[in-house]
Amino acid sequence: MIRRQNRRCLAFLVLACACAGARADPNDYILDLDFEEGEYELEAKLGAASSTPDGTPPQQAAAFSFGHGLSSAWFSEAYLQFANDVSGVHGGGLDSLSWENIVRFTEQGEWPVDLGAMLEIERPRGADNGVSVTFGPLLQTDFDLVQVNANVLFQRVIGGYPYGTTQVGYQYQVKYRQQAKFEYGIQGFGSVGTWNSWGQLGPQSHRLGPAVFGKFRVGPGRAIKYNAAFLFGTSSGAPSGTLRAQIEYEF
Amino acid sequence: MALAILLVPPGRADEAPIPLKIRDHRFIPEQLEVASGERHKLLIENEDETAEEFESHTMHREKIVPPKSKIELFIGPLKPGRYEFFGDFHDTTAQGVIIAK
Repeated sequence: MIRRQNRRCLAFLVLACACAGARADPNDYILDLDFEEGEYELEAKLGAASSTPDGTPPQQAAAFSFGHGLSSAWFSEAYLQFANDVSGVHGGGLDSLSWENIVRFTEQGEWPVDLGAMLEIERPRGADNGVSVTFGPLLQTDFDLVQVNANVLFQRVIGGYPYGTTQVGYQYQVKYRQQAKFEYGIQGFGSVGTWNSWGQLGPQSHRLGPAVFGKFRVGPGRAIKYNAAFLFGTSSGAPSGTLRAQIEYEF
Repeated sequence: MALAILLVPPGRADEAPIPLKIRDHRFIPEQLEVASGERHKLLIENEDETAEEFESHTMHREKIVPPKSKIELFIGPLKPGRYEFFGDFHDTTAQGVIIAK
């Protein structure tokens, strides 16, 4: 079931990963298994979140990335993340440098559900912040024109806060592929706390909301893709509202 | 048991791959017929000196076919209907449709 090149990718992930964590940035995005060997991407991921009921101030974030399909089963991307705490307490500017990898273990459409995984290594600014490693399975399937994605992400910080714990998060997306230039659906993100001791529902972060997507071909093998969502917080640990967007140039 | 059911592709016909060629930046044949409700495997052979990209929005498929190479591509299960595809690198000539019945 798992082809030889995919087994090599799996081995890489297992060796490189010690643990993993929950995304909670205003520019969080849904990871999917749609990529091709040889393609290049330039991408911007933007987000602005209001304050949370439990007192976290509003935040803004932007990430700029360059990615490449190294094989039909492995996509790799490096990006710079900039963040701004609107309250001014934590300052702004370059927040972290990340290297993200997505691997596909199954050929698209061969099985009822496509299976892959992601591994991200993030180096936040500041010597005391350690290195964050995020890892988790990615699932994707289609029901005619409806595409469903569901991911579970584990995150652990090595040499920084929070010490010695693995956080768990999730993300999902359901979209109706109306037409290439306009698709619509919902997106959701959340984190539940430590993997073996979920926190109370209140402090957890859960967000969901409507999303739009699309792709414009701009030449042979070149396209501009976008997606944007407005997420409503459904727990006290989540911002009341988050506006997020991605724009991507494929070539 | 539930996991085994998830992994067994429902409606997958145990059939030979469906051949589709790319020659002179055209798909041959330009029209294919497949059974609806089943998963199918296309065997796409690019006879040209340059790469092509098989793309279909309705089937949610996009895959590079290197020059002088063959690739496998799974489609379906499809509802009855017409599903257009094209070659992204030569879309003026590389056009095709799959009819699911």
